[in-house]
Amino acid sequence: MSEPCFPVKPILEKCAEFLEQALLPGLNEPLLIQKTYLTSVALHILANTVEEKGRDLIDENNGMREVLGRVLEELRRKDTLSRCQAGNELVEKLDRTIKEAGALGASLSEENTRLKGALVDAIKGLDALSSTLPLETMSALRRQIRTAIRLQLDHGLAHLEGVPVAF
Amino acid sequence: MTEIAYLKERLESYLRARFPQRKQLAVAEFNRVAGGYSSMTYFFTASWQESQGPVSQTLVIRMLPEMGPVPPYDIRPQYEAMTAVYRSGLPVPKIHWLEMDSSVLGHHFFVMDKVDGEMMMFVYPRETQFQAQLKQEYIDYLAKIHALDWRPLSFSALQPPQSNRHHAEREIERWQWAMERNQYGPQPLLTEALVWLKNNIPPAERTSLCHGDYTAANMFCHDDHIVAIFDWELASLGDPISDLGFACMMNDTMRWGFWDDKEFIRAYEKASGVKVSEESFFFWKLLSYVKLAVAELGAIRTALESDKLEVHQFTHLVLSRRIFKGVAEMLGF
Repeated sequence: MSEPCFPVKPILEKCAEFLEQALLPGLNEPLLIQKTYLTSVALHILANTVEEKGRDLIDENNGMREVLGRVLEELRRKDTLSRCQAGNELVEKLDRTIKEAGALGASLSEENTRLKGALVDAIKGLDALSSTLPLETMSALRRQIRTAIRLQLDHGLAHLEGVPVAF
Repeated sequence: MTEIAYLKERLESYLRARFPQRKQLAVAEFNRVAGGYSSMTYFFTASWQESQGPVSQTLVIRMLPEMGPVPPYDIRPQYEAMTAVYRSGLPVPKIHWLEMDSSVLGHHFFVMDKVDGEMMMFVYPRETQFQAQLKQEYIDYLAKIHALDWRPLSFSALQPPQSNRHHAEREIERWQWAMERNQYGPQPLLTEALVWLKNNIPPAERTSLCHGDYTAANMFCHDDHIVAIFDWELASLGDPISDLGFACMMNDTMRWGFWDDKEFIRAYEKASGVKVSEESFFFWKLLSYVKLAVAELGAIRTALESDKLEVHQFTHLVLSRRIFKGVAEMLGF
């Protein structure tokens, strides 16, 4: 588990607040002002990323496992694919990656990265098989893949909610 | 000796050798301009003696980067595009010369005029009474760049596409390659978007000189007019709708809200006399999101690998999420 055991988030927020409220108003040098402001932005980003990460990764990994399992199921169900080398290779690759992703000792992040890699393989593999698979099956799998991607995106966006972009 | 001092010294020797008739030539105020994704920009002032008295000139160096998000870098397309557009009378800084000897300053570079002004992205929201005028100029210049007859210009680095899908294919291939190079982990969202793009290429109706990075961040304004269009490093010959897609994507991503897509397209159609296909616009706007997302990944990766990590590079993390959201929303999920 990557859940932090001490309150990192409020500490980082306090550091950012200190920079913004105590330090920034007293600065005159433009470069120092810019750097201090940007350091506070970086601290906000870090603060918003640390605490919920463990829960998010579990959800993301479960979501990806589920989708990849469905892709595998569909691919195995199609008789036509059993005679197709690309289809067989994709099935083998996904099967192996799913098993290895949660191997003993792998951290949540490592598992997340491996499953994302498998999702990328699934997207590319399904595209290569698009003429072999029925349109309806393709659409259904694509929808499920997009749902898993959306979950990851929502987690990323939630962590960065309210953080200003500076240029 | 600092890197800046070293470059200044090298530049001074180079200019003395290049312009032997300029007596007592010296370089002062040699500074690097912060920001930008890849090409490096330096300002310098050269001064020398002529029979009538002392002369000084402030110029700009645009130089290829040490490392950047979308290699391989070639400065010649940028040079060819800017030179052609400058000669057509549009507001682009005059390039004085191109230096392809990388032993001079370490990389290929060109020297151009310095233009005084302020970025349109800052001027536009402030100068409310001039917004209509600025918007019109922004769109008119884009239409004029696209109308430029590039065929007699003998470009060598800028290559025309070989078919009406080739520009899009070339772009997809380039950004797919850059994504794979730049990613610090698998990117399912961008992979999904690239697969969609590959399967939905619209045929281009014409081939034009395209800026490739046409945004209010690359326009300089002075006295409420656009006086310079910068950053031509993504210039190409291809489907001009690509520039419309990029301009509108940036307007959304940066939350400028200067115009909405339909209004922008209508104004462009009026200025250019060319109808914009909805499918083409959608395709190029989505590809623009992917381009920017990949550039952001590259900026993050460059920051992580560089020994000169700047705090502002953390903001790429925020921006990249916003761009990813745009990609997902365009694809309808």
